[in-house]
Amino acid sequence: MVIIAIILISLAVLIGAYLLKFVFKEKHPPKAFVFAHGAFAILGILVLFIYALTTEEHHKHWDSIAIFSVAAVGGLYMFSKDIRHKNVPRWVAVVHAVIALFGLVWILSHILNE
Amino acid sequence: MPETIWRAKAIKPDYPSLTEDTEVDVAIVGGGITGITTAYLLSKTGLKVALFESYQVGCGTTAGSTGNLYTMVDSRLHHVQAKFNDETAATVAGSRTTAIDLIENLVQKYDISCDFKRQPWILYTESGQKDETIEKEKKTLKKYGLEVQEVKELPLPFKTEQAIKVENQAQFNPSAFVTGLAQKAENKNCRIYENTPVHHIEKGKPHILHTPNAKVKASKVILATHTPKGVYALQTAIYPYREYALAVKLKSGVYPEGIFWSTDSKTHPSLRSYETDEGKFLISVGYHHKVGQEEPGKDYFRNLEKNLRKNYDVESVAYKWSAQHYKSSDGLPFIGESTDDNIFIATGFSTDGLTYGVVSAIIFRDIITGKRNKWAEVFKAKRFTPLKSAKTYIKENLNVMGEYLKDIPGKEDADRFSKIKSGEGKIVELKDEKLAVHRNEHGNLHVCSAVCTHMDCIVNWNNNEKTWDCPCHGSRFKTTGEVIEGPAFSPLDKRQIESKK
Repeated sequence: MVIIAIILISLAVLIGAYLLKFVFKEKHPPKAFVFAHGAFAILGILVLFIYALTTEEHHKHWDSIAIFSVAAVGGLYMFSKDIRHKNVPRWVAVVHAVIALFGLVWILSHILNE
Repeated sequence: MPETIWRAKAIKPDYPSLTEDTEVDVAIVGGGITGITTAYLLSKTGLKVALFESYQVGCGTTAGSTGNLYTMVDSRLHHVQAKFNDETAATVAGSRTTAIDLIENLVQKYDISCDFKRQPWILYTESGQKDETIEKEKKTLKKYGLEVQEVKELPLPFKTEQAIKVENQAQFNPSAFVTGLAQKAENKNCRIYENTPVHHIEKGKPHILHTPNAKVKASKVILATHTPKGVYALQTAIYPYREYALAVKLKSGVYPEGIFWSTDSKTHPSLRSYETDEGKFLISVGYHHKVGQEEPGKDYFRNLEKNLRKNYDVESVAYKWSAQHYKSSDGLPFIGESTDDNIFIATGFSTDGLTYGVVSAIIFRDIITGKRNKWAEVFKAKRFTPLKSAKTYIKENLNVMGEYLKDIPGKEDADRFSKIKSGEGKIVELKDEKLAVHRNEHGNLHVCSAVCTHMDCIVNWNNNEKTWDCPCHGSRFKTTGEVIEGPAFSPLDKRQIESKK
């Protein structure tokens, strides 16, 4: 289950990296990719959440869920700006990306060390 | 844009545009039948009112309507009764009858020259099968006090199987009524401004409306703009559609007198006649589709004409136009205070907007002056009707999502500006941006961002009307990017061409 979550979040990160280009160029990102990015991220967090609630393993990855949730708040903020035809602040996009990437590295490092 | 017969036959008043800051009790945005009737009614209460119209009074959706006034509704009264209850259907019928009576009274009181005429409403079916719609509607209309007669013969040149008639409905020239009433509404309490688009509302106490040359402070704002301007959650519950109309002259044959609705025709669901100093015209309306989602290459006006010619001896097409309407998720309009304090909206009228516009004006007057209005609860804008709305809500919002998902990199109508012929508009992608590019008759290009300024959908070219239309929430823009109608406040973002593409 954690692997599925990592795959979903990795896909979200890849699409997010592509979307970052539009934020830096102050252009409106293609909405199909915006929705795909959001959908993969939400699904990834949801799968991780279900895992945490159902697993009997000692490490339930609540720490990663917390990191991704903070990133998600930034994502929702950016989406609310973008969908209302407003420019997304670059620094928010960068902070969002850094937190999400850190979360991915964090969970990967835990999985690889288990 | 094509001119409608109503606009052509109405006086064209000339109100100033707003040049100085002002402060009023009520600011009304939109100079159609809803806005002008509200302005008139409120001006009689002593409140200080100002109305702002982007273009000219009575030239928007009001001018694009059929000019029919009726108690019934497009979605049929028996459906309202089945979906809601007797009380709701009675409110719909009662409020609409009152609105028609108010229009008649105003026409008589001020001698407004708008060809107001009481006419019968006729519902007929052309198919040979027994039509339950007619039976159910007959029963429902009788229940709400309307005298329904069965009709054997209709003055129509094609075979009809079953028909009912209700007398005492009405027809008029809506543009002439609105411009006539506007003249009576304007006084020291009520000012009307044309060519004054409101491009931003700063919400607060008071609200501040921004127009190109001045600001307006207003305690209350009425958005009589067909759909609320700006972003509202309500926009997931109203769905924009367009339909097409022709006014033709006949070489021979009978011009039908009355409001003729077909239960089963997609090509001529609504027929009527209109007499002017130029003689009589037959008006046919049909081919409705979602805004910005035309079938590629389809000429709706030509199809409407072709089908009309199958039944009528058409001499010439004198006027052609199209108009927008918003269907609501539960079938009733949304009239009342929005989720923003002291901002009022009236939308979701479907094709019954002339009558509902006047119903809205009566409700607004009562709410704003603190009077109880017996219809307000049924139509209130903040109602939540999930069980009655779910099917339409899901279907329509999946359609909107589908339009968003079409926005993918590399998807364009043309890869070079040179592929755009005179009079055409195409989406071209350049440097990671989708552009709405139009080449005018002189060969000059107009280039704007193709991203709708309302909620970021990609606009589509409307070849029938030469406009850019948003397929998500119905904003429409001129080839040069200016807003024509819909929820968008701002024009499409202009772009300079720096590429030889």
